[in-house]
Amino acid sequence: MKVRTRPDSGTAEAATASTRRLTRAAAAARRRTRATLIMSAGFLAVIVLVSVLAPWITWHDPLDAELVNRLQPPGWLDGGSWSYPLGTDSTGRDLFTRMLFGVRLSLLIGLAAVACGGIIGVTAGILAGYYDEKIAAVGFGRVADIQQAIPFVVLALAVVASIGPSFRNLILILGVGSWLFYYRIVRGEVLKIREESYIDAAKAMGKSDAGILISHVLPNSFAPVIVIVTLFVPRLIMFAAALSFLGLGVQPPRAELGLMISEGRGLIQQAWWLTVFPGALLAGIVLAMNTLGDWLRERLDPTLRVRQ
Amino acid sequence: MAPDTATGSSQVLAVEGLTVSFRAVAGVVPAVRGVDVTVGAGETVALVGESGSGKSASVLGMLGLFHPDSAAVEAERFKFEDMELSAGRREDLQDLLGTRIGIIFQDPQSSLDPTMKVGKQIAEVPRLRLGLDRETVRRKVLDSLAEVGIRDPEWCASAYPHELSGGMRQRAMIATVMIAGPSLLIADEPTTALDVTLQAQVIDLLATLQEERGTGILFITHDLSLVSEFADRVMVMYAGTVVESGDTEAVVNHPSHPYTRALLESVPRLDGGQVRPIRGRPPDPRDLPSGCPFRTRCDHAHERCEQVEPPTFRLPSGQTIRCWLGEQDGEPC
Amino acid sequence: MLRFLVRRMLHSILVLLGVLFVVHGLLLLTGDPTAALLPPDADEEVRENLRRKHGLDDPFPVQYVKFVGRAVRGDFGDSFRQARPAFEFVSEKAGETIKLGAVGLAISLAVGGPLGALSALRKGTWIDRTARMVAAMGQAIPDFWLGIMLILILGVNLNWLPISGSGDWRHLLMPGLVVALPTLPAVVRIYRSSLIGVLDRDYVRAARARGLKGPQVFGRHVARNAAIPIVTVLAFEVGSIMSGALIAEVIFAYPGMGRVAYQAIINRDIAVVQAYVFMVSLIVVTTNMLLDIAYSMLDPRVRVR
Repeated sequence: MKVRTRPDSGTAEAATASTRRLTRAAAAARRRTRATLIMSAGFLAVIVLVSVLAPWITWHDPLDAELVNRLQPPGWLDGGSWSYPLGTDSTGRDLFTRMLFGVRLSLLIGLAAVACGGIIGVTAGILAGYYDEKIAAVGFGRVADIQQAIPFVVLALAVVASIGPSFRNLILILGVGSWLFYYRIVRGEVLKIREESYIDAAKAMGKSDAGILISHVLPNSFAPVIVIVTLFVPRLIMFAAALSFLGLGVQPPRAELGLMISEGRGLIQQAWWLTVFPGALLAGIVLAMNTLGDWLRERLDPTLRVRQ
Repeated sequence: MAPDTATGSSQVLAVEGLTVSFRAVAGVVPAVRGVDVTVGAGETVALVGESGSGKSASVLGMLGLFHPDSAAVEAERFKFEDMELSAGRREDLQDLLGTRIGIIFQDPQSSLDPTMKVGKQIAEVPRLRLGLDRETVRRKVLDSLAEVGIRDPEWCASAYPHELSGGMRQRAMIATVMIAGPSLLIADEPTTALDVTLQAQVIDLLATLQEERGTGILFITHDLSLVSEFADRVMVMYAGTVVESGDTEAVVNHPSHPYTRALLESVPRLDGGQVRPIRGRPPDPRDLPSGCPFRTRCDHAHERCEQVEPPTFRLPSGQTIRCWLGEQDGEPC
Repeated sequence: MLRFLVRRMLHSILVLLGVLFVVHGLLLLTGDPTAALLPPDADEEVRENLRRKHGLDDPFPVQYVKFVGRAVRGDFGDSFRQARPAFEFVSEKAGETIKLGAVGLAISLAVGGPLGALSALRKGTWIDRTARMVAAMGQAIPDFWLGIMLILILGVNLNWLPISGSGDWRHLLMPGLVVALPTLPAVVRIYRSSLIGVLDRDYVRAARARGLKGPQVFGRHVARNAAIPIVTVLAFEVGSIMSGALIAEVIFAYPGMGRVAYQAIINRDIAVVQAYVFMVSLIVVTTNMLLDIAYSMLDPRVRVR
C-alpha cells in the first residue's frame, strides 16, 4: 500500500494539454471583455463629444426646411449629394444634422429624467430610511404596487391624455416612472448606514438631522445610486424615444430620434434612410451604455457578479 | 472495522499523481498538486485538511464532477476495482457513479433537490441506472430508508426535503447513495453541518453499513480528532499535497509533520492539552510560497525550506511525511 | 391554500382601488373635467347635468367613492366619439390585446428559454457569446423601430407577412415579435444566470454523482428549479408586455384596446383612456396573481397548506 506524493508533478513544467487549454480560454475571455469595453467607451465618447459640438460640426440647421431638396437619398446612392451625407427628410432637412441634434436632445432627456427621478427617489429614500421605516415602507410599498399595475407607456399615455404632451411633461413622466428604483435602493442603504457608529458620534456631537443626512448619509448611499443611474440613463432614453415616437413626448419640429423614426415611418417605402439610420444609432447608443453599465455594476456591486 | 482486508489484494481505488487545476479570472490555479490515494475494500481512509487544502477538489476532480471547462484533471494512474480508467474523464466514470461509487456531500439540506420528493430522489439510481421496475424500486426505496434508520419510510419517501429534520435529511441522503450497494463510498464532510449527537449517529450508521457490505470509505473532513475514532488510515493535506499519511494510530499518536502537530494542538481535547491555534492562514493557491508551502506558518522553518519543496520521507514509526525534518530518521521514498 | 388565495385577492383589490384613484386623478388633472368628457360644442345644460351626475362639485373623497361605485359596475362614462359606454368599447377589444400579449410572451419564452439554457450549459463558448449578444441587442433595439424594420423587410420587400390589421395567425407574427422584444433579453439573462446558479448547487452535483446523464440531470433537477426566478421576472414583465402591445397595435394598426386608447388621445376622449388604464391594470393584477399561484406550485417550500 503506497501513499506518497511526488514533489515534481503539478508544477508549471508539468502543465499538460488540458491545463494549457484552460489558460488559453481564460486569457481569451479577458481579451474579449476588454475589447468590448474599449469599443463601447470609445463609441460613447464620440457620441458625447459630437452631441456637445453638434452646432459646430454640421453645416446645416436641423430645422431648416428646403423643400427643393426633399427626400434626397444618402450621399453614396444614385441621386444623393455629399452635402447631405445621410439624405434629407420630407421637408428637405438634413438627416445627419437632425440625428446629431437628436442625440444631443436624447442625452439631455436621459440626464434630466434621471436627475428628476433620482431627486424624488433619493429624497424619499433617505427620509423613509432615516425616520420612520414602518409608515414610509407601507405607504411607499402601496404606491409601488399601484405603479407596477400601470405599465409605464400606458401611464404616459394617460398623463399626456390629461395634461397634454410637452418636453417638461416628458421629463416628469420619466422621472415619476423611475423614482421607485432609487427609493428602494437608497432606503435599504440608509437603513444600514443608520446603524453605523459614526452616525451616533455625529448625533452625540450635536449635529442636526439635516446636517447628518447631508454630510453622512447622502455620500454613503452614493455607490448604489450610481449603479441605478447607469442602468436607467439608456433605459429612459429608450422610453423617451418610444413616447416621442407615439407623439406623446418631444413635439415636432424638434429633432429627436424617436420622433424622427415616427416621421419617417410613413415614407418607409420611398425613403428607408429616415427610419433606418436614427433607429440604428439609438440602438448603438443604448447598447454601448448597457455594456458599460453592466461592467460598472459588476465592479461596484460584487453581489451581482455571476461566479466565473 | 476491518483493517486486515485493506492490506489484501482487494484494492477498490488506486490513484497516483493526481493534479487538479481550476480556471480563474487571473489564470489557472493549481488546487491539487500530485496526490496518491488508495482505498481497500472495507477500509476507511480519512483525507484531512483545512478548507482550500484541495481535499474535496481531489475527490470531485478525479471522479469527473467538475465541468471540463472549469477544471483540468490529470493522473498518472487511476484504477477502480480492477479497471484502469483515466482520472476525471466523465465518460469512463458515468457507469460507475451511483452504482459502484457513491458520494455523500457535506450539507444534506442543499444536497437534496428542494422541489422533488425524497423518495423520488432515492429512486433515481435503481430506476434510471439499474432499470428496475416501478414496484421493485418502491420496495427498495422503503427498505433502504428503513435501513438507514428512518422510522416511517412511507411518510419520509413522500415528503419534500424541507419537511425533514437535519439528521433525517442526511440519513435520506445516505439512502440515495447506499441503495445500489457501492463498493466505494466517498463522504465529503458528511457530518460538518450536523450537531455532535447527529454526527456520532451518522458515523455509526456508516460504520454499520460498511461492516455489512465491505464498502471502502474515503472520508473527507477538516476534523482530525473526529477521524481518529474510526479511520484506518489518515492522509493530511496542505496546499494541494499530502504532507503526512499513515495508519491512524501512528499519525494521531506520533504526528511528525509540523502541520499535523499544529492541527492536533489547535482543537480542544479530552485530555486537556492546551489549545493552540495555528498561526497565519493557509496560503492562497494562486500565490504559493517558494519551497515548502507550510514554511510561512512553521516553527521549524529554515533556509532550505524556503528554497526546495521537501520530498516525502518514510519514518520508522510507519507514516510518511513531506518535510525536511524527516530526513534525519526517515528514508526518502 | 384558500387563505393564501383570499389574502392575495384582497391585495389585488386594494391595488385596483389605488389604480382607480390614479384614473380619477387623471380626469381632475385636466383642469376642467366637463371639457374633457364632453365634445367641445356641448352646451352649458349638458355640462351641468354631467357635473351633477359625477358629483364634480363634491369634495374629493365623495367624488372618489362615487367614481369607484360606478367603476365597479364598469361605468366609466360614455365615449363622446362613439356615443356609447367607454368601458364596453374598450373591453370588447381587450381580447385581441390579450391574444397579442400572449403571443408575445410565448415567443419570448420559446426563444429566450432555450437561448438562456444553451448559454448557461455552454458557458464561455461561442454559443454563450452569441446568446448573450442576442440578449444585449434585444435590450438595445427599440421595439417600435423593430416593428418598422419588420414591415420594411418582411412586409414590403419580401411580402411574406401582412403589414397591418388582424385576421389569421400571420397577422399576429410581426406584432408578436415586437411585443416579445423587450421581454426576451430578460428571459435569456435570468434563465442563464439562474441556470448557472442551479448547476452549481449541491443537489445537482449530487445527482451527477449518482451517475445520471446530462439530460436526465437537466430535466429532473435543473430546468424546474431554474425556472422559478423566471416566474418572478414575468410578474414585472407583464407591464412591459402591455406597453409593447400598445406600441405594436399602433404600428401594425392591430385592432386591440391599445389602439383604441391611442386614437382616443388624439380625439381627447378621456373616458376611453380611463377605461383603458383600468382594463390594463386589471389584466396586470390578475396575471400577477396567477403567477404567484404558479410560483407556489413550482416551489414546494412556499406552498401554503
